[in-house]
Amino acid sequence: MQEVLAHAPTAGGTRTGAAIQLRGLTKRFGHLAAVEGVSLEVPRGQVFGLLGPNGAGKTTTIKLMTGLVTPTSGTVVLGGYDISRQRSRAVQQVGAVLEGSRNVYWSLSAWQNLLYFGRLKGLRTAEIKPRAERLLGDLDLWERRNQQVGGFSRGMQQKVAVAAALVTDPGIVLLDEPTIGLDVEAAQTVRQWVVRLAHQDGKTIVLTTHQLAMAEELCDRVAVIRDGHIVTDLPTHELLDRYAEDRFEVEVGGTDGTDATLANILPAELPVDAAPGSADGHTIITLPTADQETLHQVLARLHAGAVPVLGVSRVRPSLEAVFVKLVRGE
Amino acid sequence: MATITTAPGRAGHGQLAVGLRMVGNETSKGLRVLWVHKLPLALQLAIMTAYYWAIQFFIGGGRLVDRLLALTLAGYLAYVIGYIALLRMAAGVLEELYTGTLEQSLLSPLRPWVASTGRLAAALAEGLVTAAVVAAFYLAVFAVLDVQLTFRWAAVVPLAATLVDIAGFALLIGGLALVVNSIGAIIHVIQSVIMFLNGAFIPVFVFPGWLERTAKIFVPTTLGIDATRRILVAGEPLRQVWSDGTLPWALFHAAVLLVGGAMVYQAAIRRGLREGRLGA
Repeated sequence: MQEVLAHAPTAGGTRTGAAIQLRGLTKRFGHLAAVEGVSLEVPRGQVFGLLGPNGAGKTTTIKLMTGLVTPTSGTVVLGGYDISRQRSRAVQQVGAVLEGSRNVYWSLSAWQNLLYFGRLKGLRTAEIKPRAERLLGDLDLWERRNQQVGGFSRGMQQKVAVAAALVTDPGIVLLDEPTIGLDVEAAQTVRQWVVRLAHQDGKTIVLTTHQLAMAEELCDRVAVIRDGHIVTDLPTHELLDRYAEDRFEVEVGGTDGTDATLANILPAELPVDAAPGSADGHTIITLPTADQETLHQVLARLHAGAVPVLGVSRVRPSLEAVFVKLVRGE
Repeated sequence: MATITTAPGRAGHGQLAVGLRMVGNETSKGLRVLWVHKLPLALQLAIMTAYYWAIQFFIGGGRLVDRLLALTLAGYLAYVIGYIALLRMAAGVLEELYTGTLEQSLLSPLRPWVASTGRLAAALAEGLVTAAVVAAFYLAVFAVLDVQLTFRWAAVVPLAATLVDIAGFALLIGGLALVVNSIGAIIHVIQSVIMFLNGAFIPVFVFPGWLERTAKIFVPTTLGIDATRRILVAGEPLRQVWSDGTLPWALFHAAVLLVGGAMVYQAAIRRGLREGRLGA
């Protein structure tokens, strides 16, 4: 009980600095290095995606962050508190939904679970109740709050797990595969919650997932871990830009891509392809080159031909495509 | 962010209150989970009640022996509490480990062994309630059979030592459950040894000397139950049970088991965190 003390934040972290700081974090199980020398900082309010193939070290990293696995070396600082030296305060900064785990007690009701997990962190019942009411209401669980969680669908159980992680209003939320096994609707609810938590409530979120489209949609920043090493750690848009392909796409209006208009405007010597765009009357002209001169020639001719240019973009790959390249070491 | 706040100048008191509240939270959870399984609990109660009758029936060669009933009931009740506490601690810890809630419960400001006392309290409460029902049934039977067993307040001291003994041993077993794969078989053997040697079948004074000494040293509850028997059945005063060393040894035994159990539990959690095997 001595650890239920009000400690000052560790010298390495401040209450206003990064929400999560990992320094030289290494975990070895015997000769196997599950996580090797991971160092990163996650600022407050950021959605940080930790991606990697199975066995890459994602879950071990998440558990190292929560203090549920003791590191071989390195430090974890949560909200300014060192998890190994100021554990009692550090764990109060975090709520976690862990992968492959029920996370909540199926024998208890949703309401009882939220009360339990709130008290677990030292909150009073009077503090927990309004939060629990709001969370259960927002997650459409209020009507079934007194039913045993074991009788819920997988999606509802996961919602209870999310609510239990949030009932203490932690600044840091760790979501390890939060949508695994969920149907489309339940997964959408979780995604909406991640957006809300980060952008409305200012929570710092660490998300691991194999659903890369979701990671691309939600994460401000993405790190890819492979064989225990972080192989890339960049803001999502920067990562996608870095792997942008050497071609441009020009979207134009007033043509469906099949008529002769474009063929008349763009001479045969220009290496372009035209295809119908996403909307009626729109056409995507693809230039299989990153050459700015060619782009300018095409734009000039389109202008001269009075073809409205709706947009120009360098073709960016999906996060999934980038991920595959990174995992293959390309 | 959630924080625990305490009034200035009263930090120690506030921390204690928060800590006790969190331990109470564990106890409350344990009892609620138990209550969900009411039918198995009722079945367990019926079996525990009938079991003593069967034991004494066979030992008595087909009849209940009045004298033996008085000498062994306390030992059997201690066995009942121990059986349930050991089972709940080990099975409870393992169930939480396999379902992943153990890790969630470790995301608490409390040290794991302190939090485990809440789980232990729930297990002991279940054991005490079961033992109370069994005791009430047999005291009624004793009244019919005219078996003499008079309650004396002096017996509370060795009974408390026995309860602490059980608590410490249950913590130890709960810790071992986290690191020993075949803990189920081990618990089964331990529970049988307790039942055979703590005085639930026959009082320890009829054992050969070496077996009596072995039972008192190595079998939880034996010393406390022997002291209780001497007070309740033989009518010896507490002073006498103290002066011949029985009660001091019982208290020492209980203290050692409690401290040892807490250390083993804490060490098992530390090892689990080191090896990353506390999760589902």
